Amino acid sequence: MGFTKFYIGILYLVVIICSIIFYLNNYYIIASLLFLGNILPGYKLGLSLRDNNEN
Amino acid sequence: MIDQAIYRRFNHTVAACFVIYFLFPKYILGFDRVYLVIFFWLSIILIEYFRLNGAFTLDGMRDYEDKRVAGFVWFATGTCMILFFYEMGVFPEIFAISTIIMASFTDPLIGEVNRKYGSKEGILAGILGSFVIYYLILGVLFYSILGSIVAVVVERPKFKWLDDDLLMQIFPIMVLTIFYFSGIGPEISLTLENN
Repeated sequence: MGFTKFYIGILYLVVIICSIIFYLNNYYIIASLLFLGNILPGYKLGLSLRDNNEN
Repeated sequence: MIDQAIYRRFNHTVAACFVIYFLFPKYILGFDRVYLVIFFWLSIILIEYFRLNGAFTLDGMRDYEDKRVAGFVWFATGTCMILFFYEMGVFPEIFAISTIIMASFTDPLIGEVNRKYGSKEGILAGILGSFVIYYLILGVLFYSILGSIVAVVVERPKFKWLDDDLLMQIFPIMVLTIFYFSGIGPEISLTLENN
Protein backbone atom coordinates (compact mmCIF):
# COMPACT_ATOMS: atom_id res chain seq x y z
CA MET A 1 0.00 0.00 0.00
CA GLY A 2 2.89 2.32 0.78
CA PHE A 3 4.25 1.93 -2.70
CA THR A 4 0.81 2.54 -4.23
CA LYS A 5 0.44 5.81 -2.28
CA PHE A 6 3.88 6.91 -3.40
CA TYR A 7 3.03 5.98 -6.99
CA ILE A 8 -0.26 7.92 -6.84
CA GLY A 9 1.67 10.94 -5.58
CA ILE A 10 3.98 10.64 -8.58
CA LEU A 11 0.95 10.49 -10.90
CA TYR A 12 -0.48 13.72 -9.41
CA LEU A 13 2.90 15.37 -9.94
CA VAL A 14 3.12 14.12 -13.52
CA VAL A 15 -0.27 15.63 -14.37
CA ILE A 16 0.57 18.98 -12.80
CA ILE A 17 4.05 19.22 -14.32
CA CYS A 18 2.92 18.16 -17.82
CA SER A 19 0.02 20.63 -17.75
CA ILE A 20 2.34 23.44 -16.69
CA ILE A 21 4.90 22.57 -19.37
CA PHE A 22 2.28 22.58 -22.13
CA TYR A 23 0.86 25.83 -20.75
CA LEU A 24 4.29 27.49 -20.70
CA ASN A 25 4.82 26.38 -24.31
CA ASN A 26 1.56 28.12 -25.26
CA TYR A 27 -0.32 24.90 -25.96
CA TYR A 28 -3.26 26.00 -23.87
CA ILE A 29 -5.82 23.51 -25.19
CA ILE A 30 -3.64 20.49 -24.50
CA ALA A 31 -2.62 21.86 -21.10
CA SER A 32 -6.29 22.35 -20.20
CA LEU A 33 -7.27 18.91 -21.46
CA LEU A 34 -4.55 17.22 -19.43
CA PHE A 35 -5.50 19.09 -16.29
CA LEU A 36 -9.30 18.99 -16.60
CA GLY A 37 -9.40 15.38 -17.80
CA ASN A 38 -7.57 14.26 -14.68
CA ILE A 39 -9.41 16.38 -12.15
CA LEU A 40 -12.41 14.13 -11.55
CA PRO A 41 -10.63 10.76 -11.36
CA GLY A 42 -7.83 12.40 -9.34
CA TYR A 43 -10.31 13.91 -6.91
CA LYS A 44 -12.24 10.64 -6.55
CA LEU A 45 -9.00 8.77 -5.93
CA GLY A 46 -8.01 11.36 -3.33
CA LEU A 47 -11.31 10.78 -1.53
CA SER A 48 -10.77 7.03 -1.68
CA LEU A 49 -7.28 7.45 -0.20
CA ARG A 50 -8.65 9.62 2.60
CA ASP A 51 -11.35 7.07 3.43
CA ASN A 52 -8.73 4.36 3.37
CA ASN A 53 -6.57 6.29 5.86
CA GLU A 54 -9.54 6.88 8.18
CA ASN A 55 -10.31 3.15 8.23
CA MET B 1 -7.96 -0.68 0.44
CA ILE B 2 -8.38 2.10 -2.09
CA ASP B 3 -11.17 1.94 -4.68
CA GLN B 4 -9.59 -0.25 -7.36
CA ALA B 5 -11.89 0.93 -10.17
CA ILE B 6 -11.11 4.60 -9.51
CA TYR B 7 -7.42 3.79 -9.22
CA ARG B 8 -7.57 2.08 -12.62
CA ARG B 9 -9.45 5.04 -14.16
CA PHE B 10 -6.91 7.53 -12.83
CA ASN B 11 -4.02 5.50 -14.20
CA HIS B 12 -5.80 5.54 -17.55
CA THR B 13 -6.43 9.29 -17.66
CA VAL B 14 -2.90 10.11 -16.50
CA ALA B 15 -1.66 8.22 -19.57
CA ALA B 16 -2.69 11.28 -21.60
CA CYS B 17 0.52 12.85 -20.26
CA PHE B 18 2.48 10.59 -22.63
CA VAL B 19 2.07 13.43 -25.14
CA ILE B 20 4.80 15.29 -23.27
CA TYR B 21 7.05 13.16 -25.50
CA PHE B 22 6.36 15.58 -28.35
CA LEU B 23 8.05 18.37 -26.42
CA PHE B 24 11.22 16.33 -25.82
CA PRO B 25 14.30 17.27 -27.82
CA LYS B 26 15.01 15.03 -30.82
CA TYR B 27 18.20 13.76 -29.19
CA ILE B 28 18.51 12.95 -25.50
CA LEU B 29 22.08 12.41 -24.22
CA GLY B 30 23.14 11.80 -27.81
CA PHE B 31 20.48 9.15 -28.47
CA ASP B 32 17.47 9.57 -30.74
CA ARG B 33 14.37 9.92 -28.58
CA VAL B 34 12.77 6.94 -30.30
CA TYR B 35 15.06 4.74 -28.18
CA LEU B 36 13.22 6.10 -25.15
CA VAL B 37 10.00 4.67 -26.58
CA ILE B 38 11.60 1.28 -27.14
CA PHE B 39 13.20 1.29 -23.67
CA PHE B 40 9.90 2.28 -22.05
CA TRP B 41 7.98 -0.45 -23.88
CA LEU B 42 10.54 -3.12 -22.98
CA SER B 43 10.35 -2.02 -19.33
CA ILE B 44 6.57 -2.43 -19.37
CA ILE B 45 6.90 -5.90 -20.91
CA LEU B 46 9.47 -6.86 -18.26
CA ILE B 47 7.21 -5.66 -15.43
CA GLU B 48 4.30 -7.60 -16.94
CA TYR B 49 6.43 -10.72 -17.33
CA PHE B 50 7.31 -10.72 -13.64
CA ARG B 51 3.75 -9.86 -12.61
CA LEU B 52 2.30 -12.76 -14.60
CA ASN B 53 4.89 -15.06 -13.04
CA GLY B 54 3.76 -14.02 -9.58
CA ALA B 55 6.91 -12.14 -8.59
CA PHE B 56 4.72 -9.32 -7.26
CA THR B 57 1.16 -8.06 -7.38
CA LEU B 58 -0.04 -4.69 -8.61
CA ASP B 59 -3.02 -2.71 -7.36
CA GLY B 60 -5.82 -1.96 -9.78
CA MET B 61 -5.74 -5.24 -11.69
CA ARG B 62 -8.98 -6.90 -12.74
CA ASP B 63 -9.57 -10.47 -11.54
CA TYR B 64 -9.23 -11.97 -15.01
CA GLU B 65 -5.90 -10.18 -15.49
CA ASP B 66 -4.23 -12.61 -13.08
CA LYS B 67 -3.53 -14.93 -16.00
CA ARG B 68 -3.81 -12.49 -18.86
CA VAL B 69 -1.91 -9.52 -20.24
CA ALA B 70 -3.06 -6.45 -18.28
CA GLY B 71 -4.74 -3.38 -19.75
CA PHE B 72 -1.80 -1.08 -19.01
CA VAL B 73 0.43 -3.22 -21.23
CA TRP B 74 -2.04 -2.93 -24.12
CA PHE B 75 -2.35 0.81 -23.66
CA ALA B 76 1.41 1.32 -23.45
CA THR B 77 1.84 -0.86 -26.54
CA GLY B 78 -0.68 1.25 -28.48
CA THR B 79 0.95 4.49 -27.41
CA CYS B 80 4.46 3.23 -28.15
CA MET B 81 3.32 2.04 -31.59
CA ILE B 82 1.89 5.50 -32.31
CA LEU B 83 5.09 7.22 -31.16
CA PHE B 84 7.27 4.78 -33.07
CA PHE B 85 5.34 5.16 -36.32
CA TYR B 86 5.23 8.91 -35.81
CA GLU B 87 9.04 8.90 -35.65
CA MET B 88 9.09 6.77 -38.81
CA GLY B 89 7.04 9.49 -40.51
CA VAL B 90 3.88 7.38 -40.84
CA PHE B 91 1.51 9.16 -38.47
CA PRO B 92 1.25 12.98 -38.41
CA GLU B 93 2.02 14.66 -35.10
CA ILE B 94 -1.41 16.20 -34.63
CA PHE B 95 -3.21 12.88 -35.15
CA ALA B 96 -0.81 11.16 -32.74
CA ILE B 97 -1.33 13.70 -29.97
CA SER B 98 -5.09 13.89 -30.34
CA THR B 99 -5.50 10.11 -30.49
CA ILE B 100 -3.39 9.43 -27.39
CA ILE B 101 -5.33 12.02 -25.37
CA MET B 102 -8.65 10.83 -26.78
CA ALA B 103 -7.97 7.16 -25.93
CA SER B 104 -6.75 8.04 -22.43
CA PHE B 105 -9.95 9.86 -21.52
CA THR B 106 -12.61 8.14 -23.60
CA ASP B 107 -12.09 4.54 -22.51
CA PRO B 108 -12.56 5.24 -18.79
CA LEU B 109 -15.45 7.57 -19.64
CA ILE B 110 -17.23 4.78 -21.53
CA GLY B 111 -16.49 2.34 -18.71
CA GLU B 112 -17.95 4.63 -16.04
CA VAL B 113 -21.06 5.54 -18.06
CA ASN B 114 -21.61 1.86 -18.97
CA ARG B 115 -21.44 0.92 -15.31
CA LYS B 116 -23.74 3.68 -14.07
CA TYR B 117 -26.24 4.18 -16.88
CA GLY B 118 -25.97 1.37 -19.42
CA SER B 119 -24.39 0.37 -22.68
CA LYS B 120 -26.24 2.73 -25.06
CA GLU B 121 -25.43 5.70 -22.88
CA GLY B 122 -21.81 4.49 -22.83
CA ILE B 123 -21.68 4.59 -26.61
CA LEU B 124 -23.16 8.08 -26.70
CA ALA B 125 -20.80 9.34 -24.02
CA GLY B 126 -17.86 7.77 -25.86
CA ILE B 127 -18.75 9.39 -29.17
CA LEU B 128 -19.41 12.75 -27.56
CA GLY B 129 -16.28 12.67 -25.40
CA SER B 130 -13.94 11.60 -28.17
CA PHE B 131 -15.51 14.06 -30.59
CA VAL B 132 -14.97 16.98 -28.19
CA ILE B 133 -11.34 16.01 -27.60
CA TYR B 134 -10.61 15.55 -31.29
CA TYR B 135 -12.36 18.78 -32.20
CA LEU B 136 -10.56 20.82 -29.55
CA ILE B 137 -7.18 19.61 -30.81
CA LEU B 138 -7.74 19.14 -34.55
CA GLY B 139 -10.37 21.83 -35.09
CA VAL B 140 -11.72 20.00 -38.15
CA LEU B 141 -15.23 18.57 -38.01
CA PHE B 142 -14.57 15.82 -40.56
CA TYR B 143 -11.68 14.20 -38.68
CA SER B 144 -13.36 14.71 -35.31
CA ILE B 145 -16.51 12.86 -36.36
CA LEU B 146 -14.57 10.14 -38.17
CA GLY B 147 -12.10 9.59 -35.32
CA SER B 148 -14.76 9.50 -32.62
CA ILE B 149 -16.92 6.98 -34.47
CA VAL B 150 -13.99 4.67 -35.21
CA ALA B 151 -12.79 4.88 -31.59
CA VAL B 152 -16.15 3.85 -30.17
CA VAL B 153 -16.78 1.15 -32.79
CA VAL B 154 -13.49 -0.62 -32.02
CA GLU B 155 -14.04 -0.27 -28.28
CA ARG B 156 -17.15 -2.48 -28.40
CA PRO B 157 -15.96 -5.99 -29.32
CA LYS B 158 -14.26 -7.89 -26.48
CA PHE B 159 -11.42 -10.25 -27.39
CA LYS B 160 -9.48 -12.39 -24.99
CA TRP B 161 -6.07 -11.68 -26.46
CA LEU B 162 -6.60 -8.18 -27.85
CA ASP B 163 -7.66 -5.23 -25.75
CA ASP B 164 -9.62 -2.10 -26.59
CA ASP B 165 -6.83 -0.02 -25.00
CA LEU B 166 -4.72 -0.90 -28.03
CA LEU B 167 -7.48 -0.87 -30.66
CA MET B 168 -8.82 2.53 -29.58
CA GLN B 169 -5.48 4.07 -30.43
CA ILE B 170 -4.35 2.22 -33.52
CA PHE B 171 -7.56 2.13 -35.54
CA PRO B 172 -8.62 5.80 -35.24
CA ILE B 173 -5.15 7.12 -36.08
CA MET B 174 -4.82 4.72 -39.02
CA VAL B 175 -8.19 5.76 -40.43
CA LEU B 176 -7.48 9.47 -39.95
CA THR B 177 -4.06 9.12 -41.57
CA ILE B 178 -5.41 7.14 -44.53
CA PHE B 179 -8.19 9.67 -45.13
CA TYR B 180 -5.75 12.56 -44.93
CA PHE B 181 -3.05 11.15 -47.20
CA SER B 182 -5.54 9.74 -49.70
CA GLY B 183 -6.89 13.26 -50.15
CA ILE B 184 -10.42 12.31 -49.10
CA GLY B 185 -10.13 14.28 -45.87
CA PRO B 186 -9.74 18.06 -45.79
CA GLU B 187 -6.43 19.88 -45.30
CA ILE B 188 -5.24 20.24 -41.73
CA SER B 189 -2.12 21.54 -40.01
CA LEU B 190 -0.15 18.38 -39.18
CA THR B 191 1.90 19.86 -36.38
CA LEU B 192 1.15 21.11 -32.90
CA GLU B 193 1.90 24.69 -33.83
CA ASN B 194 -1.67 26.02 -34.01
CA ASN B 195 -2.76 24.74 -30.62
